[in-house]
Amino acid sequence: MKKVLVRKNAYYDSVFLMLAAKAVKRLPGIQEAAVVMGTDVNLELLKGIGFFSGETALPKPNDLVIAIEGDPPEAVEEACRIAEETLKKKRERAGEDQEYQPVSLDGALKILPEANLVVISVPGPYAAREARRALKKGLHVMLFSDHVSVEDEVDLKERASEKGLLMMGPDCGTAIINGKPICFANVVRRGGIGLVAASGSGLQEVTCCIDRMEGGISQALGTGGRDLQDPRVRGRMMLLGIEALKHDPETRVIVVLSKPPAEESAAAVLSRLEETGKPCVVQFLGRKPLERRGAVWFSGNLEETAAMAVALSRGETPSPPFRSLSEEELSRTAETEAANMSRSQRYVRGLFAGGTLALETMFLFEQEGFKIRSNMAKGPGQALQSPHRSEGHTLLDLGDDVFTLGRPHPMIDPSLREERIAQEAADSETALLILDVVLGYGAHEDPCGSLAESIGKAKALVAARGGYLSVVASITGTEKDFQNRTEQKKKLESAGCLVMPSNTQAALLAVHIMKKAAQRWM
Amino acid sequence: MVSAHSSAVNVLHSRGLLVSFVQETRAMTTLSVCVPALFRKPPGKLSPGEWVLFDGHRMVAKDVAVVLLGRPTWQGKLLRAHVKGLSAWKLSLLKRALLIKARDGGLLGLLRTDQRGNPFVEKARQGLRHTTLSSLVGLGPGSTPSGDDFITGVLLGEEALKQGPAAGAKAVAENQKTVIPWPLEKEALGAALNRTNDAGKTLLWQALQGNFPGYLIEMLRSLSAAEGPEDVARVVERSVSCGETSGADALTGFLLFLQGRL
Amino acid sequence: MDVKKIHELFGKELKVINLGLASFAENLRKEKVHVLHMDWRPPAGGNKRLISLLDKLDQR
Repeated sequence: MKKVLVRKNAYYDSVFLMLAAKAVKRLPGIQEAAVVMGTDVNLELLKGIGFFSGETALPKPNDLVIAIEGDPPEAVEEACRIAEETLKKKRERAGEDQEYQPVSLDGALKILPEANLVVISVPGPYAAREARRALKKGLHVMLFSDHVSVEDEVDLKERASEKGLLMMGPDCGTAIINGKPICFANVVRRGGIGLVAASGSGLQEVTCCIDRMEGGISQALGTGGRDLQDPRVRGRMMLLGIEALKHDPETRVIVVLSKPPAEESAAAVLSRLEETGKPCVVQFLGRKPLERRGAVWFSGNLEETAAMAVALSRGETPSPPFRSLSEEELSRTAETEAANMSRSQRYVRGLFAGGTLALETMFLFEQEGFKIRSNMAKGPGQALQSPHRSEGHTLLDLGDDVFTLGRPHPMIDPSLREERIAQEAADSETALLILDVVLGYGAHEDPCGSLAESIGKAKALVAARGGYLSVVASITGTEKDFQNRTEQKKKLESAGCLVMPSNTQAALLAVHIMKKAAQRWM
Repeated sequence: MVSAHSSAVNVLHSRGLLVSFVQETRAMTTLSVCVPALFRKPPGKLSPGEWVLFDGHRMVAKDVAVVLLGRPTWQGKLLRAHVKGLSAWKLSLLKRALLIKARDGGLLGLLRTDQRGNPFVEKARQGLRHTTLSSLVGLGPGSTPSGDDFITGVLLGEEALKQGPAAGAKAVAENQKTVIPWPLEKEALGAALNRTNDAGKTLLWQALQGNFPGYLIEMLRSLSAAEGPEDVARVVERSVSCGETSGADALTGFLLFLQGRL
Repeated sequence: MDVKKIHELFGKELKVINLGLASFAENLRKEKVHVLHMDWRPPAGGNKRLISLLDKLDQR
């Protein structure tokens, strides 16, 4: 029996082809085997000896032809099978003498075909492209990179929505999926509260507070900072996330968190939440909380968001916010702190690594009538002449581009903040420093170590001038985070820092202290 | 991209010609570039079937970018210096060594008048008998068909004669009975190029322009410089190590062309 | 909005491909997540024009 195999556009080196031909010829029952290119004259020859009889579709010169003749037919089939195998193996092994390191998504998928999530933190100009390819392959995406254009973001989220895939980002730093922290995230208890957030540090803070209050997280999805803020993005990822949590049996309460949203996006989100049929908590930072609408509750600060969610997850009605210090205790502490300040010390200086935490503090101060200047400021009266020089009450997001160009983010490297602490301590008008410390994956392994030292030095400097520097901090983290929250807290406290259980409470204490300080000189 | 081997990567140019990126200058053919860096620790993996872009001085694939600027390429022109020491005696030594050292399988059988049974050799003999060299285009086994290597050897022989000291040899040859027909009908060869695959096409097209693969130029140069049977044997060994039968086929063509002419 | 694929993700073990910062992959491993870290390089040596050409070819 004669049989012919054709491999289109195949190119193997001659040595291999010869060996393959020899190997096939040696097989039992095989009389003749030729491995040749499908050139005109070769085909002529093969036809002349009985191959390709009656075939209409003939191979081309660049096709590889394996012509096998033998008896019985089974032997020929077997020989064909072996020939195919040999060629396939050779193709796969091409270039394998070096260790294979995937440098492209396709290569990676060959090694890990069951991949379901791609985490992208490559430089901005390339990030969108990689995200697009991942979506094309049907993979969910976490896009940590920023400096991705709005147009790209809209395109990516459209594609993701169409395919029902997660497109978390760009500029998404935090997510917790199936209990696993992704990028900058904390180890928290598993439970029934699902979150969708357009803010990384906000999501970290809320999930840690939930954990502290003995609640648990089902899923925490990030959307990237612009999702609700930019009207062009229209909250696409937020809406998809809410829909996913609506149908997730593990999720009993849905929490939505975002920096000040664009009007239509906010409206779309609220109506989608109402349709879920589950109790929801919404916090639009910087907006006064609205009245409750059916099962949708509105929160005024991060701690309250957590407290409401935990209560709802227990089937309880949210009650007044959780405080570790009563009004009285707050007052007393504030008195003590302000007591030894000198007359010149009039201003608060906030140095934050978490953008949302800085924002929350700013809004809380403003609600109490303070005029705050900041690098986050929108209004002209609030901007600083230079972000590197504080004026009056100043709250800074040190993670902002203007500070991090060429330097690591303050969550990763404390030196940027420590330099600024020294600078503020040297300023005789500084009364109070507010700091946030974020633990968990992605953060520094011992943020409070050197921070405590800087705080100690700063306090000593002011004391030597006859004044008193008050320092208030919060630690975003859980006991399960690898930095050991208890140890971190001790380090700060031993330097004279007041450590509050949440950013919200730190801000409230700071407000009290500043009021007391102002009152002293009236 | 057509194929990736441990020391060569072959890319099909949009014009239908095959460009080889090789690790060492020794392995260069016409239309090849020596880029050792590509083989040291490849920055990525090249997969057969992948598209490759040529941008001015750069070759770019999905995972790999290779700078070609300044990298050695190969012209492959035959120079007088390469053929200075050629003589009929050396050619007979060459033939003897070739028959001993070369593997069977290609068109080497053409040198053995007693060989029967190899359909490719038979077909080639027919072609030569009827004085159509172009009927050998695309003939035989190998990723570059044996016939193409053979014809390249013939063209090399012609070029060697042109450059050779024995200017009078041409006159002599015209009066002798030779194995390879004269003239070589270059036009017919050019027209037959589409009857073979890209590798063969590239090889023949370049040979028609007088550009030959590195190993063949090297073969002639060292044959010229050879002083005795041992030297010649070494020349043959090195040449037949190229490809499976490519070297042997080319040498067969070379010898058959010059037989009776030198 | 079809959220079937997201639910598939919720119900399964995470299998992650990481492009970019190696520390993200290391951290996932500490949490016992199966992650493959890629040695990502800018494609086409970073040349934008070439990248867009490669993309067009991809779509063939």
